[in-house]
Amino acid sequence: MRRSRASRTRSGRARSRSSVPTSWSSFARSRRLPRRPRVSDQASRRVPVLDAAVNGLDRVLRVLLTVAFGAILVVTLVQIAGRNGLLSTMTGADEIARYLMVVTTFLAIPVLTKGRLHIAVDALSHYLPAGVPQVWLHRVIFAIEGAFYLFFANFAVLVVGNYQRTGQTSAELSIPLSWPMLAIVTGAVLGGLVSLALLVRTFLRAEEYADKSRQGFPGAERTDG
Amino acid sequence: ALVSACSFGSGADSDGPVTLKLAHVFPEASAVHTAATTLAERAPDVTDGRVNFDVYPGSQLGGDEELGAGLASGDVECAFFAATASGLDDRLQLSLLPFIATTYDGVDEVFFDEDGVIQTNERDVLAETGITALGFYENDFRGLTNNVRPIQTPEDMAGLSFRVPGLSMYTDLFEAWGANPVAIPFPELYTALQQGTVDGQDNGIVLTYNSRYQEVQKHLTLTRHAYGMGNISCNTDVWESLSEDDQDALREVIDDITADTTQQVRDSVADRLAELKESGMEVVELDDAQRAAFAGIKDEVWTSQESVFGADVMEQLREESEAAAEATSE
Amino acid sequence: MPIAAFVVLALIVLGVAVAVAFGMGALIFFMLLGGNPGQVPSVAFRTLDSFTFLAIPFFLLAGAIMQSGGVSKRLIEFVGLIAGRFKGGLGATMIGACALFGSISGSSVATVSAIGRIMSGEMAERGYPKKYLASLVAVSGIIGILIPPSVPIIVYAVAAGVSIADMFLAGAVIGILLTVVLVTFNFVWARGRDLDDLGARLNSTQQRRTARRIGGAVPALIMPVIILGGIYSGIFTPTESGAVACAYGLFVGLLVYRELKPSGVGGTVLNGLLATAPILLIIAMGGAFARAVVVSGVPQALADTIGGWGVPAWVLLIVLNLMLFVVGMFIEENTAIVILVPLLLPLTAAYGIDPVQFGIIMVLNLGMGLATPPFAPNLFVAANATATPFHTMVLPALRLLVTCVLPVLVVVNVVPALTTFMR
Ligand code: NA
Ligand code: NA
Repeated sequence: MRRSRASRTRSGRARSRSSVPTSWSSFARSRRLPRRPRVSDQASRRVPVLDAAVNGLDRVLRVLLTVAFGAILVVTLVQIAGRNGLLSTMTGADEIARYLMVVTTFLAIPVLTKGRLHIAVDALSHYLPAGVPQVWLHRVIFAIEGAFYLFFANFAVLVVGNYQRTGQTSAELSIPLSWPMLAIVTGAVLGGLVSLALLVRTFLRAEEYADKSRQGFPGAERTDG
Repeated sequence: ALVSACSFGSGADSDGPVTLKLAHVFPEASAVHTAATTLAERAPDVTDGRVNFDVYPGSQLGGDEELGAGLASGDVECAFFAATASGLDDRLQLSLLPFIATTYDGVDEVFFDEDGVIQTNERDVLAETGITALGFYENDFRGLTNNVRPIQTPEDMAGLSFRVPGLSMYTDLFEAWGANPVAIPFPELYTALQQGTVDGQDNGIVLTYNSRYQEVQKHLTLTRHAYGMGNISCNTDVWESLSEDDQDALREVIDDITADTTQQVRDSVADRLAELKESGMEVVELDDAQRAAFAGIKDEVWTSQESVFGADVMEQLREESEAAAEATSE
Repeated sequence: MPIAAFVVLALIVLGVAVAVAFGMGALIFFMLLGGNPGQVPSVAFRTLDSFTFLAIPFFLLAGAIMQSGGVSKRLIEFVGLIAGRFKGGLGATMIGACALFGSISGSSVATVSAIGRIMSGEMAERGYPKKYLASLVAVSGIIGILIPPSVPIIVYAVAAGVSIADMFLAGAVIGILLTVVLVTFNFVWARGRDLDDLGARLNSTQQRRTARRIGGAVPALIMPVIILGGIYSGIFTPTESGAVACAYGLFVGLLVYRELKPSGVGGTVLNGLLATAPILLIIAMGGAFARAVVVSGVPQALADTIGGWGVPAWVLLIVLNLMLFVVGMFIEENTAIVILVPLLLPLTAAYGIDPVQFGIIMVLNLGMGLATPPFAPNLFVAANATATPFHTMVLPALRLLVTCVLPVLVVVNVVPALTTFMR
């Protein structure tokens, strides 16, 4: 009895691991614990310049984002320590934390786009036949997202101009508001470029792309369950 | 202006009737909201329907910082806002200096003199960013609330932590009093006061009442250590697109309204104070000698801010402040 | 307004990132209004520029740290000792954990993420269908904004000029009521289902082994004590507690359990960020869309229309509930409160509806909105934290809203005394 219960647990565990349907990743893009893409996720024949550029940008941004997010944490802990007399009080800690949150959110756009880590509903993609319709859906999505990021970046540039003209700064540390806005511009521009690169990628080695797209967005990161 | 309201046709550049957004950060039950709705009612009357306002209360179009940016860009055509908190320019914090005036008479002399240094400074600095200040009104004196003990002298503040706006003149002020100024983001202040994360805060009677701090604070001291002044402003491009007749008519209405608002805020202070007492707050009203003890640090803090506002401006403010103190003490 | 809302929905159905759909909707909306679409980036920036939103990255990262550092595993082992006595026990524990976490965090999303991440793996292994447990945690997250401290309740009380203390008390009562209803539903649901909660009840060998390991669970168990204790003793604020949870999780994972390697810290932090950024982007772009809604004057026109009908109070309440529900589908709760209080409160006041009662009605409706697409942060986060396909959760979540939250909402509407007893 004991043994059977234990073994049931073990097999249950094993079952649940293996039963993560291989197809779920094709329609669930909201995932936990995103990880670096596997080599097998990539189209096997590379388009050297484009892939190298996108991957290089991705790697740089990941380091940058990790450091910035760590800084948010440290700054907030320093503020708590300061208020409780462990360190000297620091004004403006919450300003740094807030702006870094904004900055990391927007600078993450290219990484989210490349790894298809955005929150999106893929019911349509799930029900659409694989092959050509699937590929064209991807193209439409990349085109819309890319166009939006570039529109958004265009307007954000005007906002940066406005902030620079008025010289508006944050209340406590006098951080120019054009700085976080500039990071927003950067994130949106790079997000637009990555979207367009991915769009172009669907036309290069198109057959391979169609083949890969049966399992969802090629290069999409997924959890291991 | 790089992005002016006109480029997307908010209507201000046409000859037909225009509808302008008029925003503020206060709740419905506030003197400022009454002022805003009054302006919205009277504007079409005095301009033969050419100028209309839509009122957006309660930070619907953002807080003071966002309203400042919106006024400068024209996305928000007009607003009642506190320029001191807009971050548009450090010089706009002049009116926040401690103990410029501590009586209503003194305030009227210094803050509500159109040619005085405070209004002139605020108008000029705002004009540089493309904002036209049209009138000024009262936002209440500041005070101290806390949960530890009644504060009668600066010595009573020793060791207490106060949440203050994160401006150097404020942290200097509270440190000079021997208190511990700390940063707590405004949305978390109620909970922070409730749990004792911080002992007190330094908003005035009206904001203390609006934010319900009386529910989590025992003591209130009417230090009047600073005075809050708000202004009603419009984006300069939008304002100048109106005909001169309409501008004059609106200015007249705004003069009325701002005077009324100041009076209403003063009247409401008495009611609010009574309600604070009723909800269990113990109020310390300082006499002149007691207040003078708090004001002892005035010179020190003012001197430290000279580089921000410039020696000329500070000298003029010193003269006006002293003249008002003398005139009103007689 | 209908065109802009349609654009948002159409883009989302197409599979475009939800944040992009809201951003595009906002751009188009401002153009249709003749306003400046150039303000979309600045409003998105200002929307996100809020300290209380930091709770989301903090607690999402804390969840990731607790998972990779071995804290989650030990908490679950401990929970199994108690919850394993009843069928449906893990489901009930999940709801209870959301209520407990709700007393820490003013953020519903943070609650869903932390609890979903900790409990979903074990529950799935014990036979709970993923779409059930994911929608259960998404809906239980609503408890987090009812039980104090609660940012939406403070925002409402200040806008409406009512006592925050009264609102907190009413919110606590309704939060506990909702907890009881959800737990009851869960036990009824569990009957006759092939769940293995009892499998978590250990045999004597395992009990002995677990008893030995209880000591090892202590550092994990004092984590909630540190967080709650820290808030209630005033050492840090609810939002800051998320940063403390991260730091403590790192300490325990690195130095006590040693399941987290120093070289793995960076990866864990990055994972936390990449799980957070999509949600924050939706909040930012949703804020721009909400601004367009405000400027369009639609809410004002709607309130004026409803006010002009002169209907009896109960009809008014039904209409307002429906309106709040629809608003909650598209707009973030705090933004919706700021927009609607000045419009609706004069109306309800004229009918003699108590502002505290109406506040809870509003928070509860908008809380339901957290789990109704397209703007459905609780569902997005639950899908992420429990690794469940988003679109499979929509209907189960709706079913939970209808069977559990709706009855509570009806009671709040019909029985004013439940929320106004202290007045
Ligand atoms: Na809460
Ligand atoms: Na929703």
